[in-house]
Amino acid sequence: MNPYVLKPHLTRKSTFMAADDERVPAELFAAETTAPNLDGFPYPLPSAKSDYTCFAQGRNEVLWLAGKSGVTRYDKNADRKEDIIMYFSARRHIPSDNVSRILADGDGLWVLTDKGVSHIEMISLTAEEKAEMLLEETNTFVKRRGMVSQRKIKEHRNLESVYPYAASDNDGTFTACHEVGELFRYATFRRELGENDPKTVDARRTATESCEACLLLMYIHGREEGFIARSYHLTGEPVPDDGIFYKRCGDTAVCVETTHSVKKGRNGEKIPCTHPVPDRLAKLYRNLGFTEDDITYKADTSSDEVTHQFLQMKLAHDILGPDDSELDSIIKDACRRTMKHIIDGGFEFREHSGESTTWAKWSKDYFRSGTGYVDAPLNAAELLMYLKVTMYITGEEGIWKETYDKLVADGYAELSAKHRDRFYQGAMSCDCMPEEDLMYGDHMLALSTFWMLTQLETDENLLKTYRKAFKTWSDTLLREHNPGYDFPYKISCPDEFIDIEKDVEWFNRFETSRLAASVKLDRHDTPVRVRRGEGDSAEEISALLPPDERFIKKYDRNPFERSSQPVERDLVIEGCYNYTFAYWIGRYYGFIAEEEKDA
Amino acid sequence: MRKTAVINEFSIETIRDVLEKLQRFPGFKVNGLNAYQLEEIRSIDSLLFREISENIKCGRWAPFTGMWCDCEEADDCALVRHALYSSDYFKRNFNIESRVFFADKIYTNNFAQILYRNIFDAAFVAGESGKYWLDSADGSRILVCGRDSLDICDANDLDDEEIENNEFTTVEQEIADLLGGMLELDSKSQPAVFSEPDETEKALIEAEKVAVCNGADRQEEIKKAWIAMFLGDDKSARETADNILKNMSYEDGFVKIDSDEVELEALKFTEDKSGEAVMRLIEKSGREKTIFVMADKLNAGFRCEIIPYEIQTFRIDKSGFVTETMINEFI
Repeated sequence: MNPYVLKPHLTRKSTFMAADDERVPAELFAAETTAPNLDGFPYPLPSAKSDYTCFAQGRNEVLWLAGKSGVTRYDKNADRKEDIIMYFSARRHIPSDNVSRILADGDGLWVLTDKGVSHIEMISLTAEEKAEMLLEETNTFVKRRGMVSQRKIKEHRNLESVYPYAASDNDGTFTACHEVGELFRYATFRRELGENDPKTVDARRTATESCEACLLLMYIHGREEGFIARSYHLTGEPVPDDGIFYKRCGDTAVCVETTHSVKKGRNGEKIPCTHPVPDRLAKLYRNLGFTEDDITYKADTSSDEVTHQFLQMKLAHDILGPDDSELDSIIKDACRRTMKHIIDGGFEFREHSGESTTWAKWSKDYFRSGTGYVDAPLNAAELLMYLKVTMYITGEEGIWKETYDKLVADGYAELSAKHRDRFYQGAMSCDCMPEEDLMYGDHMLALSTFWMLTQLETDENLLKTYRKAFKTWSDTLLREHNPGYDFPYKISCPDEFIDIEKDVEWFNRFETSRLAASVKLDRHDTPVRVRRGEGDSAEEISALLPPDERFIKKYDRNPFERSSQPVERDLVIEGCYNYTFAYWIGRYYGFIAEEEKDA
Repeated sequence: MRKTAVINEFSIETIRDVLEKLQRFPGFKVNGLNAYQLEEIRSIDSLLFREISENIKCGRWAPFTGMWCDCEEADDCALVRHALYSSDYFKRNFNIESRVFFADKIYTNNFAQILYRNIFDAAFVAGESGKYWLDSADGSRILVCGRDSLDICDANDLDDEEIENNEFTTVEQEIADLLGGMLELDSKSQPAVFSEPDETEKALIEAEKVAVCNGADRQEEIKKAWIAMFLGDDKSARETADNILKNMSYEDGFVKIDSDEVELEALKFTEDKSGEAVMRLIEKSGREKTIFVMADKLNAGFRCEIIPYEIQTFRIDKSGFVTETMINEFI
């Protein structure tokens, strides 16, 4: 397969300012306000025709239209169909959708609204340049001690107003996904530029840091058993009232009072924390002047965390391990400890007391329960993946292989292929349609699981079963046209079709900031899709909008979601892994390439 | 023992007998009568109809939803309209949105899709045996239950003792219980084959389009014509269509779709007399695509994702805002 050569593409940049800002050209206030004649206009328009009250002719025959519901850019000469019409709406690109005047400015536009002015620039960038800009933003504003999830900000659009701390329910998951992007960035640069190129060195540093941050969560609790923490906080950082937390103090950790811990009767529970944190990992907090006694970690770990930890361990072992034996030995130890904990717990991830966690269960007992019945195909595959990765990383068989073979004999591999049957049935039994019932985070879990299983399984029959099982996810996975899903899917199931043109559109239209800002989804050109249930998931948009016209999200939300964005959601900056995960996997595996600079 | 009683014989005597049993035995429930049969009863005996209606509304009589009337054959476009008119009928008259489609057979390769896009989860198919998942080429799925897969007995054959000694349920409840349990079923996939409408159907489809194009809501008469055709009266159906077509014509380009691989299956007014339009598109090439649809005179222009072999239905309001809806036009 030849890689698809990505060309530089126009990328949006909006700068908001007050109407009396000295940068605003006086001509904007005198710009004409004649409504355009749109009779017979050949393309669907994001606003009703009667909403357009002004227009401006831009460079290269680009026509800008604006009025009561945002700004539309019409480029009849655009190379790609999806770029002919572009839409700019509040609060992502303009302060308000109520636009009174516009003024063309080269490739860009000045926009006067009732809540201030926006200067929209259209900047030509390569896909790799965007990856680097996004990473720079994440490293500067989102990352904390190597962990990358998201960070809240105090003021809309003001990156400098970022809070000095953060909380995430899934730090391990999101950091692992970020790490995968960085690992493939490093592997790509090493192959293309050599080990000592500054870009390669930088990529190795960020990939290693992310790996260390993930591994730290596997030791930070100090439990003798191979537990994994969801996240951790240090002294001075507020602990959210959202789950089960333990505060370390000497050789004991005490369960912190939260609504959940009180409800579960665990408030004040004391458990030992005597297992040492490897120095290599402890530096992430010790170098900041903290000790183990400053740590409060989050427990009640889910299968999301466990699965993504196994994913990152396998890839870090492959990419970083050969040249970093210290890191690789920690990976091996973490892998053994976690796998043993799962086996010892009867295929359930357990707290120190022996109580099962809420969502990390792979046992037959769980599969016979109501929720477990629908989860079973994915969870069965996850457990097989953990065992396969453990055998691969440690080079050992023994109990790992015995367990794997027993699970296969018990029908776990066959069960993994029943996802579609049970998912449809589950949705029907809830009186809703499958897309309404989907946990969108499960896509990344399925992807991580089957990607690894299909890479590591050598038995032809089992490999066939895992591919068949992965294909049962294709209905909902591939409709997103997210290259971060499509590429690993194609690697795993080479005979399957992915729409590379749509993946290219995704790269082309991705912006260079993950600063959350709502967009208008109530559009004249985009039908609402009515589902049968109730609530937010019962309505979708009928057409997948390009990333620069959708809300900013992680991989765990429905990209067709139509629900209105509360303003609070605009007060956050997300990490860049959505883009970098997809981009660097794509580059490394040869799905995409950059145009030669001198071409 | 739990049993499901079904009325298989459309006779006034049987119905009176069943009503009498419903009155005497508070735990008794029954399944039967499609929209056509209920309308026949209404025209013959309004009191009897009222009595049945009361039992339907309180959940003791589950009607045969799905097909307007018993039919030996139905192609895709007929099946769409059976489902539409039956769903509409039961919603309006009894406020029922059933999840079980009663059919004599699996009529077309798009059976699962047409049912799924009418919000039916399952089909109770007299001519089938066993239970299995049925998939259409677009990926839509329903549960098929053959007559032998549920405990069924003919209601008119039940004696008092049997009614007293057993628990009776509806097919609807049986299906709900099945879906709530742990099913291990095989699945059958039907290849993508779209059946061609016959000449009368083509004329009715054209009449619907022409009516929208000319802003003349003739949906009521067109619906009657479709129903006449279901009952075998092709002649009067054709006359209705011809009558509309002789006075009005379709304007080329009234609806523009930027892909030859997507067909405009229907352009019609809604059944609710709101004056809004419904557009139904079918992807026939097996390739997913983003398409632009322009209907300037309806103030509408929109884009949509359509997956291989999908039947998509859109409702267009008078200001041109578009909703992707179900075949049954409920929103």
